[in-house]
Amino acid sequence: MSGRLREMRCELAYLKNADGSVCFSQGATCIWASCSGPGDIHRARANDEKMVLDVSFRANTGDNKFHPLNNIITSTLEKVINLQLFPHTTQVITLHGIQDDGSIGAAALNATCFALLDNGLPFDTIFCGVTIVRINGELIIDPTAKQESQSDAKILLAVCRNRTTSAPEICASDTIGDLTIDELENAWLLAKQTALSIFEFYRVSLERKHSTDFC
Amino acid sequence: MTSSEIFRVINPHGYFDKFFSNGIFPDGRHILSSQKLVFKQGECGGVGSSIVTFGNVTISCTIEASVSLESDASLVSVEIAETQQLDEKQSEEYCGILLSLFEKEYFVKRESMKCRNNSGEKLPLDWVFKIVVKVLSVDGDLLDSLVAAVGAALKNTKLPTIVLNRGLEDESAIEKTQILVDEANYHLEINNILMSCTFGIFLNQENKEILIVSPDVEISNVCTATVTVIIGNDSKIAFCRQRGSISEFQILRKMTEITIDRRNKFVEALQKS
Repeated sequence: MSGRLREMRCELAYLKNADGSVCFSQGATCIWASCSGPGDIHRARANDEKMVLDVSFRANTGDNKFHPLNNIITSTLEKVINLQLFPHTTQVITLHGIQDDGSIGAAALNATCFALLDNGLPFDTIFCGVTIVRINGELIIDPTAKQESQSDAKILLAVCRNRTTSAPEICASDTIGDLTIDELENAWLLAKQTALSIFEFYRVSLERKHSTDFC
Repeated sequence: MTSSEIFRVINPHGYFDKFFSNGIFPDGRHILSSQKLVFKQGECGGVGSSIVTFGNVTISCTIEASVSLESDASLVSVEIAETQQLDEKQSEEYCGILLSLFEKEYFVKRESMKCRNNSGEKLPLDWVFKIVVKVLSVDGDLLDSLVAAVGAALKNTKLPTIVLNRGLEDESAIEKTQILVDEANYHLEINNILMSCTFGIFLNQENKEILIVSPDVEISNVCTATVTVIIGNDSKIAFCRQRGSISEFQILRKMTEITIDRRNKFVEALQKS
């Protein structure tokens, strides 16, 4: 197991027309994320029981009608937001992949969390994304695009904090590539360790934002 | 409506808790026993086909083949016909998963999709597959049936040999008229037979996680997590999709063991067919 997270940067409230937004970069991978809501929804799409999530990831190339990342982001949000607090409303989350230098899925999850934190929407726990690839039998976190192309297995994990113990726990994952169960377990452990560093980055970034707001 | 049916509607979690805590589904099946998988090959046309019934899901899969010149382009496309039970978004997601498995050469190696002549030599032409899936009924995870149906259809695939009617030293572009389909045919070489199994994690009233195999849509809605595991050769995990939290990794280990066991039975049945 090796590697470390690339440098992360974020600029909160980046897009003026959204309720919450961020420009987030992880190495050379850059995402713009925005979220608006809870807001009005057409009666035909409204849910009597809970808020409707409308997640749309727009990559900088290719067909973006149904991006595979939408599923894992939506699933993670369903886990961390108490949707039943806002019935008959919608939360629109749009992510733009500005530049892809690997780990775009993890960066998208991190950017989504930042946008929601900027919005001020109440949610149960923070979450983050970690991408791990296997190259020559070695697990590498936060790979670049070049490393991803050399890899034979790829794991995207969404990690959140446990509500009672605050320990990191895996709340969603997508794995592809021949992996043994032990390699997958190692990837889980690695993702949990990495998540602590990302959560610390969230804390520092928001502390800085709020100290600026109130001074 | 009986009182139990009313209870099921107003408190589905409480209703299923009564059964799962005793280790059974409402229909009497054990929570760790998988639903019956029935398949029939070669009934839906194309170069290979299958009909698969897995629990409450029934689908047909047909492989249509055409010949193309050698290229780096993808040789497989997947089309899942839309139904009332399956919207465009869901079918696109399933197509994406299947395509990513093909890209990783799980089902068939790219090398095996080269056209061959009568003497088995590879020609500078590729077979291009269009996999057409029709969903007849769906009440459960479609991916399990999809993976089984595609595997069974590929195993059933017979491709004709090709006669390339041109000189060995001819370097000009191959014309359509120079490609002739022969009467002889051969079985497609399968690289890996995959088995997919979906699991649910149910949290009972004592906050204990209960593992259940092949939950239907209604049960999936009361589960805290669902996991789909696809196992390939050497009992390795080819694909895994987890939605929701699992407290212990041991549960995932157990899921893998169940899927490996199920795959062995499926491979045995396919070899007999």
